[in-house]
Amino acid sequence: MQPIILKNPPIKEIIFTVSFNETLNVDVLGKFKNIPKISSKFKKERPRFHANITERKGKNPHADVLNEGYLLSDEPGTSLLQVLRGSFAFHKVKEYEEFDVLVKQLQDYWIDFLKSIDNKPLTISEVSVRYLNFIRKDIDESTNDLLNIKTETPFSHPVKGFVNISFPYASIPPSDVNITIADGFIEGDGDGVILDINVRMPISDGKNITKTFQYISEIRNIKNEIFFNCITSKTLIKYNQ
Amino acid sequence: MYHFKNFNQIQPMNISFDHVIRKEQALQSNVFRDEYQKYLDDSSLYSFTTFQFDDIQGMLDSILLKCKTLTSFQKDTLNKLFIQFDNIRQSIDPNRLKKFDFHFNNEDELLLYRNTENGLTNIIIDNEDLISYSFIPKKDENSNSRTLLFYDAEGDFESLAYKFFANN
Repeated sequence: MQPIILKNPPIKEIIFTVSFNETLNVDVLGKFKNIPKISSKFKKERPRFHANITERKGKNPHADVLNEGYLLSDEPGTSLLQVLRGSFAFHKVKEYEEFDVLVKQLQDYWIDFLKSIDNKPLTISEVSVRYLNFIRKDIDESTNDLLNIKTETPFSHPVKGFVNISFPYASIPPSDVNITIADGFIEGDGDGVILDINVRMPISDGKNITKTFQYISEIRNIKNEIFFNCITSKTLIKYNQ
Repeated sequence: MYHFKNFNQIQPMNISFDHVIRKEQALQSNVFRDEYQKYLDDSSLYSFTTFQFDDIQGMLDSILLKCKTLTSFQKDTLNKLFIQFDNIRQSIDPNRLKKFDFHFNNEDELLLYRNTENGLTNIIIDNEDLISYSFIPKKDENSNSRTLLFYDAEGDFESLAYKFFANN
């Protein structure tokens, strides 16, 4: 059966995350952002850090500020790279691109990342593909009109919908699906509902990059199946015009 | 005549980081972070399922509440371990935080353990001054990876935390 391709998909953000077993030093992470190919495209940087505050008897508390990594963004803010000591993520924001094109971009960035750490062999432990959709609510439409995951109650007061569902999916290798549905608002779209689908796949042969990226490609079918099962025919028509 | 249970022999209980991981993932979104944050900030919003996730401190508190006779050394050690668990959440990758069980035995030792298809991983905190880490592989061909290490109060808790969540 041919997959349905919507003319106007409601995707607002796509996140690919690669987790690995090794823990890199923060100093090592810095080399990636200085690669000319990366620094010329991703001109904005937002460092990530957190503070640990420790009590000391008879003295003022001490704060250690720890650098965790960074978030890089291109000028229009449509491509982001998040680099942490144990994971690497590529975001595509508010701009649709074909899944295969995005996976190829992710693979290229991943290879550049490995080169920046002197090709230290990293063992990929998990990959995830997350699609965040925003389905606009027209006048008199409720979440139940737009999605097949129902949030009805017998009570009279209005319920602000937030639903989180998780379940295993029988893929090879097996994966875990997390679906979040929440009321939201986006400038330009107005009120609507967030349909956030995350498919996580633990990887056992994580040193095989080719195979790992084949698994990522296979996640496409899973997330498509989940998405089209979640939306009603009303939503299908709305985004296929 | 009734035989009362030895109340030191608490049934094994487990800690799952699923909610912590989902909260981190929710806030990873560049587009919807603020929308999700509203749900976290205001639990009075009427919602079908309230967006209340456990945090690392809450998990530590749940162990302390269940194991009421822990010594200062055991509490201090747990605190140091959970600081490292939080560092893993924030700095490294929240997906590394795997479910574990804990048990307070008749010898007043606190056991944290993970039983996976690869083997059994233990952290044993005695009531005075010793922490031991062990990994016992399930498959004979991995017997070289059998590990036993000892730590004291000044030990490297960062590497201990990494070891505890390795060997999936």
